[in-house]
Parts: sequence; structure tokens; C-alpha cells
Amino acid sequence: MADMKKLMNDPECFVDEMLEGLVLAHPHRVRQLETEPRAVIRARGDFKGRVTIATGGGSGHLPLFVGYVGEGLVDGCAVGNLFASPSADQMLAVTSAIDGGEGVLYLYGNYGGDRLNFDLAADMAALEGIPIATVRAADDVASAQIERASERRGIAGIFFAYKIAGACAASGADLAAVAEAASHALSRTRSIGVAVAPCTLPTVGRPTFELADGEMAIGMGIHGEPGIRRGPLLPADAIVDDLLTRLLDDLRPAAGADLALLVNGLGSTPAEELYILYRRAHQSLVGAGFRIHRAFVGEHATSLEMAGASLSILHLDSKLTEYLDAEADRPLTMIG
Amino acid sequence: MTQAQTIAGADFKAALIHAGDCMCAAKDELCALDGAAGDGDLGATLATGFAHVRECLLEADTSDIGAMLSQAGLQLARKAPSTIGTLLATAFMAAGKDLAGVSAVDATQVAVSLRVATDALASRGGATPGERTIVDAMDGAATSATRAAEQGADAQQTLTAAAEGARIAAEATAYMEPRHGRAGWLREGAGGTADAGAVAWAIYLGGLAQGLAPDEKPAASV
Repeated sequence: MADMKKLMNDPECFVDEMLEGLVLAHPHRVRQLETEPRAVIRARGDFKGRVTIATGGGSGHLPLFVGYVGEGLVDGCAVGNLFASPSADQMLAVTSAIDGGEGVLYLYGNYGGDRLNFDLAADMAALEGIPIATVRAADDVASAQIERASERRGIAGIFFAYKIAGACAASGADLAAVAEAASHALSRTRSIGVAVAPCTLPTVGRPTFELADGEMAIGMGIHGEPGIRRGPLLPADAIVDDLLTRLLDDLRPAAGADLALLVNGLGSTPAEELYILYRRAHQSLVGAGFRIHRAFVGEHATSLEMAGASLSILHLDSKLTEYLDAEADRPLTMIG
Repeated sequence: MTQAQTIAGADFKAALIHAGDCMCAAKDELCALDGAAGDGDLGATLATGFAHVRECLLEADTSDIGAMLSQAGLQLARKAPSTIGTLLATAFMAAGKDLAGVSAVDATQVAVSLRVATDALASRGGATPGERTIVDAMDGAATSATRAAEQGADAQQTLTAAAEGARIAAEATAYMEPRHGRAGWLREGAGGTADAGAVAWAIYLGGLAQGLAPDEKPAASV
């Protein structure tokens, strides 16, 4: 434990104290359920008569997942321990609290533990008469070959799905339509990351993986899952060229298509470096004839203090553009 | 089918309570088995879960066996949040849905609900028989129960056959290669130790069969 330097108290209280602070800081936006503090819902609570959206997952990825509870985004979130799924019971608590009588969409990342618990929560919700639809983000092209795309993990690209589904739900659409909008957005979203330094879980005390000096890992997952290639750290432009090639080969957007581009920081990579990555990605995509309709640069899905970044591309169409541009809150960590 | 060939709700409830008690009593044995390849907390997780299931069964209305099983599943989901607890919750809730509104089960219903529970757990956990998981014991139990029911066994004999099928299948996991969970990542041979989840199911069904026939010796395989 000698090397771990974190601003914290008891490591066992890390998640609960983080949540307590988050709710104290943003009381107009989010609140914890009194009966289940790991269930966080929109403070305004205007759920009646509309489809609502629940998400959830392990902690350690802020603003993912709980930071997306907001207007035009998701309505509630079940908060797990660090890198561990919340329980089905916590998910059910969120579900019951945000149910507005029109059904609830479960929108979360494709990880085994989360699937197990959200599926069970859906069974439990069914016993309470709440219809559930499920859409999982599986946008990380590095986590499985295209033939097994449904097994891929979800990373920062879920941000696009939150915005699209949130806008669709706010428009008054029914549950099937909101689920279809989310899954349509994800079918046109691809992401890939690069890590240059690992993170350390407070409760574990040693790094989640090791990278030699001057080494990088392309395709590293947000829990330190092995990437697809390790090698010497390249200049930013060369890294972006590699990542973009993999994304475009997989996504195959139409020539001249409108794209949304997200350059996401993994936790300890400064905004300066993210803009250096963005510059190359923007220039390459525009040079290849695409149009960048909107750009997002900053921390949207992190892995504690992991260093590195991920690129996500959303291949827009007119409906997706309308939903993406709809009024919505910003991720919690970006507001005052 | 005569009344004697079915298991009434009140008897089933008593047997469920006894089965849960057997699971709690096996806590240390299951933790030791799990420690060979996993976190070593499986027995403790299930003991906690089934202690709460017991409380809730004591209050349960015996006229609906399906509702009892669904309630047991909900308790496991709440009080045993872990992979094994969540999977068993899924299995109990699937069986509960299958037997909703049923006040006494016959042999076929026993066999079918065991199969439904097995399929629900296997599909959610992404495991198939032969991969050294609880699915092996569940599949062994469902297969034995189906055979017994087809051969004309009554409900109680069918459950006894299921328990024996689970026991044999659980023992066989000692010779299988793990593919799931931490045991799967470690990629170490099972080393002659049975899978903790599979043994847990064998213990549970053994307790269920024994709870129905407290005075009889467990019957041989059908």
C-alpha cells in the first residue's frame, strides 16, 4: 500500500462518501433514496406519465454512471462498489422510484455482473407490474471481433445513447420507441481507448495492470481489461490514426456522413492532451470527407486516475441529430 | 392422479425450510470448496440468503407454491447479492412463475419446474452442462426428475430422484475444467474438488427431498 496516494478516508467508505458529496453539491439535480442510498434519482421527480430511463454500474468512472442523472438524460442510477455491479435490489429501488406508469428503459454497459443483476431486476419489476426494456452499450471495438459484436464491452459511447434515449423519452415516445432510439444510436456508435498508465483501486492498493515505461496499450478496457496491442508510446497523431482506422473499418459510415465525435479522458489525462488528439481526429475525418456535426472533449467515462483517452464516433442521421441537439443537462461533473 | 401422489403446499413449505437449513448448515463446507478456486465466500453468502428466505417462508401462504418460490427468489436477490445469489434468485423466480397459483404439485410439475429453473439460470449465467458450475447439478437433477416422472414416480419420489441426480452430477464436477468466474480465469484444473455451486444445489435438493420424507432413508436413483 506504500505507493497509493489518494485523497480519501477509510477505503471501505470511498463510494458512499463520494455519493454523499455528490448529492450535497448538486441537490437541485439529484437525490438519494432514503431507503436505499445507492439509488440516485433526479431531484425534480417529474416521472409521471412518461417513459423513464435507469442506468447503473460500478463506481470509479465518473461522470459515468450517476453523473448522467439529469434532465434530458437518465432518470435514475444504481451505484455499485468500485468496478462492481450494483445489486438487483438496488436497481429495483431505482426502478420503482422513477416508474411513471409508462415503463422503464434499462440502459447500461455490457458487463456480465451488470447484465445478471439488471435482468433479475427486470424480473422483479415485472412482478410489480412495471414493464422493462433493456438496451446495453457494447461500443468498444477492441473488446471483441465484429463477428461477436454483441459480446463487446460498453465504454464512453454510452454517452451518445444517454442523450438520444433521454431526448426521445422527453418527447413523449413510448417504451418501445425509446428503446429503439437507444439501440439505433448504439448500432451506429463505435469507441476505442488507449491507456498509458493504470489506476489503483483504493480497496486493493496496487495498480490494476502494469505498463512498462514508455509503453501504451491500445484497446485497454475501463477496468484494465487487456487491450489488443501493446507497444512503445507513439506521437499523438500516430495514435489517433491507429484508433480512427479501427473505428471507421468497423463502423463504415456513409461517404460524407455527419458524425458526432467524442474525445474522452480516462481520468488523469489533461484536457490539453485531449485537444491535441481531437485536432488530429477532426482533421483526418474532415479530410476523408465527413462532417463533424458536434464535438465533445473532456471526461465522460473514466477509470479513476487511469491515464489515456478514448475516441467515440456516432454516425448521425436526421433523427439522431435532432435528439443529440435537444436540450439536456451536462454530465454532473461539468456543472457548477 | 390421487391426492397422495402430489405434494401439498404446507408440506412443500416445510421441505423448503428444511432445505434452506441444510444449506446454512453446509456453510463451512461450501466456503472451503469455493476457496479452492473462488473467493471462498459462497457458503457464507448462501447461508445469509437462505436464513432470510426462512424468515419469509415462515410467513408464507401455503396455497400458492409458485408465490413461495418467487418470494424465496426475491429474498435471495436482496440478501445474497453475488453471482451465485443472483443466479439462484433467477432460478427460484423462474420456477415460481412456472408454478404460480399451484396449491399442490404433481410429479410432472416437479420435473418441469426444475427444468425451467435450470434453463433460466443457465441462459442468464451463460453456462452449459459440462463447464463445472451449478448448472451441472441442476441439469442432472432436472434430467433425473424427468425420467422418474415419465416412469410413473409420484411427486415425492421424483424430488428424491432429482436430489440423487444432483448429487451424482455435483460429484462429477470434480473432474471438469472450469470455464466461468474466477475459476475460469485461473485456468487451473479442478484438482479433484467438486464445484461449490453444484454441491450447494445437491445439498439443497437433498434437504428438500429429506424434508418431505423425514422418516425415510433417501431412495436410490430411479
